[in-house]
Amino acid sequence: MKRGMLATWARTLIVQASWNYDRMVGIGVAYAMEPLLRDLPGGRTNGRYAAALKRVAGFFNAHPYLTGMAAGALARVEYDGVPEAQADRLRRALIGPLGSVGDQLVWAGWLPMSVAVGLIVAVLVSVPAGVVSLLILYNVLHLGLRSWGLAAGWRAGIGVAGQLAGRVMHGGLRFSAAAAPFAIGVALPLVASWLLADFGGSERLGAGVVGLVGLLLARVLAPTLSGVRLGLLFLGTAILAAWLWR
Amino acid sequence: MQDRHAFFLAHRLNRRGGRLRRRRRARGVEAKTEKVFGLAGVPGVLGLGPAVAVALVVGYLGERTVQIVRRGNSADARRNRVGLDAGDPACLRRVHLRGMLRDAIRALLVTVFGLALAEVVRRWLPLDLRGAVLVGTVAVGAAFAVAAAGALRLVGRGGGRAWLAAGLVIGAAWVMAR
Repeated sequence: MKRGMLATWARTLIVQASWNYDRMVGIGVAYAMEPLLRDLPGGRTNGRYAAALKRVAGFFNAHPYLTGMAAGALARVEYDGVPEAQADRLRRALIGPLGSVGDQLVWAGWLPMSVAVGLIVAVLVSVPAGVVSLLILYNVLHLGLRSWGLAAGWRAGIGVAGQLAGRVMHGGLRFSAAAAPFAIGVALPLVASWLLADFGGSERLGAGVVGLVGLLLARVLAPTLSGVRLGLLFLGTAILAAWLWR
Repeated sequence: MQDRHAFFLAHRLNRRGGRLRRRRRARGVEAKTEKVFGLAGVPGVLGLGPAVAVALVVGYLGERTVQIVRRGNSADARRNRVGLDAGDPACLRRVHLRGMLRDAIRALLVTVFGLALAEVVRRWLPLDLRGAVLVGTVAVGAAFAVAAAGALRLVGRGGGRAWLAAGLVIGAAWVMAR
């Protein structure tokens, strides 16, 4: 394993700490890849060390779990002596794919699937078991993806795009695109029956009406009316009504 | 589960016992279930509504305060432009760690606020049995709405719809079989 790899991996866990509207995650990625650059010929006095940090600390964005892949690949091109203009093109070219692949794989796939599985376990076993299974399942991919991305980026260097289009990522995307909606589909009726188990007929009807109205509002007013805002609106109104109704 | 059963049994008895309560009121005896009570120790689904409300407020606050931290990070990056554009590792570290400190302070404040709000709601939110049932019912309905809207947005118009439908059928069959 390359010296500095472990430090870089650990630093990718806090890569978003300096996220800002000017450079997005650029400063975080530069901070994360810095240990990998220390062994460049000539060390920190080598002009490429500062030039590489400067390049990456500019505008850069990626899904946070795939920033390790960018850090690995961008550090590797410095070791391989790739011309600076080409290294800069690679940095720019990585922004789109690392963002969209990560969003598709994690935010739209693995995260909802893990939540659904956690809910199923909560209903069938117990609530603590559901929470624990959610945390374990989600972090298996989360930490695995960070580790694989960093290693794959370092291995591939300038050819990192091949890793993004490779079997691992392709299989992961196909799996999560099917598994997430399926798990949510299984979880919805199970959780509904669990939550409504002790409700009487009128409360069930009320929950159903609120659910339908909420669904209509969420569909019509999306994305302005996010889930959090819809929940706040409904619950705020209900608490006010209940307080006045005493 | 025992708590939930106990509560709903009490709620149904409360509704069915309206005539009895009216007699008690006429005698000037205050029925216990009609007392306005804080939500301390309220079991199961009764506590669900206020708990979800607190969680949503904290979530919303978290979402808004992240933007404040990010604006602070932007200003910091602008102030340190010279060092960052020169690839100075010390400057890079300082800016990054200051961002982490800002986020840690934000997290601490949001957490303290969330705990304080939960305590306030637990002690002083005055809801009677009826009101607590109303809030619990709305919480469950809103959760279904958000989950269903999220699922539909997730699958879009692609092949995910078939997987969602298959999951719904299996989930419904599972519920019926239990």
